Amino acid sequence: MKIAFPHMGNLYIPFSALLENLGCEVVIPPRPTRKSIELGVKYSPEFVCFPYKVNLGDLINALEMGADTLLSVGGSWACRFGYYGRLHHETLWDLGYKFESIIVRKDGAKNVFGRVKQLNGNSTSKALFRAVRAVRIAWTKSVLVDKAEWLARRVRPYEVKKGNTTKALKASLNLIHQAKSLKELRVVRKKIYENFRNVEQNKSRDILRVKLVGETHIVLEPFVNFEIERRLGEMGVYVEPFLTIHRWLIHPFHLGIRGRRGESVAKKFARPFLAHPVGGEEELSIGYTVLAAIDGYDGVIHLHPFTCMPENVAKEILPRLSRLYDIPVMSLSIDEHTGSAGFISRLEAFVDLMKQRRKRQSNIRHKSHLRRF
Amino acid sequence: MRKWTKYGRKGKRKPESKAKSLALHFRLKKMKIGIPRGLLFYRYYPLWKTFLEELGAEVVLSHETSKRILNMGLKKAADEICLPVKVFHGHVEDLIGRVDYLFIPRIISVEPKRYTRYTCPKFMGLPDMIKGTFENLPPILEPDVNLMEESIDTSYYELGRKLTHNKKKIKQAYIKAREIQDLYDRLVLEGKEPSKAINIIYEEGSDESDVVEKNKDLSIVVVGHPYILFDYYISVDILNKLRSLGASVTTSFSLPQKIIDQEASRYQEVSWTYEREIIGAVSYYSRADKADGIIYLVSFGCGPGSIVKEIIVREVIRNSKVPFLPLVMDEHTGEAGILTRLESFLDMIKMQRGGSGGKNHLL
Repeated sequence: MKIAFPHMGNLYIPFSALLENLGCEVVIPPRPTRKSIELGVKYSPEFVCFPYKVNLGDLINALEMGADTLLSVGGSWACRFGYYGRLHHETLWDLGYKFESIIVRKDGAKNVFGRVKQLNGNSTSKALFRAVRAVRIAWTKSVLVDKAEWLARRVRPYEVKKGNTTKALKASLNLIHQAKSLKELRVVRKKIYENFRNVEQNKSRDILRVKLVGETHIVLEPFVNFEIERRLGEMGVYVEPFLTIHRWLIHPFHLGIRGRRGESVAKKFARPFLAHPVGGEEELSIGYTVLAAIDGYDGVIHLHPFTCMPENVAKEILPRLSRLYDIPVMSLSIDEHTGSAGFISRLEAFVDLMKQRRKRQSNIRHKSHLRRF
Repeated sequence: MRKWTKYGRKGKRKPESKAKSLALHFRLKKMKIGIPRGLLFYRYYPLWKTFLEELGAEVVLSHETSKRILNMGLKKAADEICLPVKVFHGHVEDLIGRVDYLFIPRIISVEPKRYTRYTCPKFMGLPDMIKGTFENLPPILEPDVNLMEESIDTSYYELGRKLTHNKKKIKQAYIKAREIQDLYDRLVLEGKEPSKAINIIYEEGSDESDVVEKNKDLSIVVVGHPYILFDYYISVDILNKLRSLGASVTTSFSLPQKIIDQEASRYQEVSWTYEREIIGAVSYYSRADKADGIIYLVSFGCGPGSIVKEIIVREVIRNSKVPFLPLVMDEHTGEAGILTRLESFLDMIKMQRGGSGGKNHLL
């Protein structure tokens, strides 16, 4: 069984580890490119949201590489994401590809375990053993990916030579992806810290802090958001996305971020502005915008795909938050026609605006909030 | 505290504080409540109007959609949201200054929990969106209608409590409103257009003799959301255009709920109530001998619409021989372009039939 799934940021590292350890062969398509997106756009409905098109392109690439099973999640809630698997697979069948479709639903845990058992010679004990091991490795990997990304975010604004952090991050991710066992991962963990310690830093720099909110796929997939984290980081801005791959993976099991700046806190802060959740990440977008203002961030960037329903609701509410809490908010909608030059010049303008604002406020309130690496 | 258990679960929510409610009550000397003529207005207007009027308020309706209203909406709304929501913003702007309160319900779910079906996400956040965009807004009456969590009676009871303290009055108003709404639903089922049905109910106007469309040989079914179909400005009056081109027109709203449920359950579940109706209707008419052609009106940027269009094309009308034309409307849709497409669609059907006799047994 050659299994494939669409890309979303570094999701492929923990997820392919999980599937490989369960006994499948994983086909990882190349990262999304202009070409694969064009391929996806060609076979998609015209005004469906952008991630649908990107994912379809990925799946076509995977099938061309020889995948014979496609994995997707499905469900029925108000957002369109629940229909991706169903329609992607129908479209691909219509195109003449032959493959088996697995759509994991909320009630499908039993089904999935049945498949795992099948892969392991119908032995429950063996399947259970492998499942536990696979989950442990995948969990460790996703935690490590989270750690590496977090370190890169912290170090990048201070780096002396541009690009060193990105190199360190790439090397670390490679190490994580190639590690096969928990024992190796323990070594990798140390190496990751070492990689980032080797990046030369200039800690006297005064940096800006930006919160990234919006739709999951756009925030997490670097090709789609024009590597916003790297670009802003190299401009001397610390960027914190509201969600990471690890948090997204554990979200369905209600293990999301807890504590002072957890999801439930964000939801509470969103309540006065949005009385009922709409079905996507709009609640977190609004809540984390408020929290960013309270925490003294310099600005918020709201990324969302063109015509995304929940984020459009949030987009209309955000200007009000911006006025109320006096924090700059920039809403950027992204689709296949968004050009990188226009996008980057808007980012630069926003950074300039934040710098001016920081100068005008001319107090040290912000500095005291900086927790440096 | 609340004894009226018949109207909702006991102690589910804290009742509104008495002072707030009373303050409103005393100001209710013919308080003007504005209802924007957009989105779910086309489904539930008689219910809302009767209920509010029975409680002593005066209902003010925004003007019919026009270029002025569309332009006001375009200025205010997010630029990539669907056209009906933009138009709704225009209607709200039209009402500001003329009314004391705005009535924008937050309709989350209109079916019980066992179905897990929602309305469109934009309806769930509608009052919040309006509050986010407009600054000089009158207070909004925003009852939550969420049949997944509470009964419809609770929603209206809580709305009523904001207007009056007389529980009996609320109950009576609700019962009467329901009756009128049932009458309206029946009229729509008979094939009346919403504006006509509202005229019949409230102005007691004589039933304008409906032209009995018998001598037309093409029967076209138009499906879509009522706020696109029956808003003559958004839909560029497509229903009358089809009629003048010599086709008899039926809309999906003259199908009883039972048939729609039956048809829609033949496909995989869709979690949007109103979109499921469209799938059911298309499925019903796409069988042989029900219609000569199906036109699906959808606005650009309609989230569920983009998915449902794909489901219809890939699953529902796959093996059907009935021609299907999806028409995407947005604020730049020109009348001439639509007319050309309709003409060619009808010509295509005629050519396909090769001059055989028409089917008139549609209703």
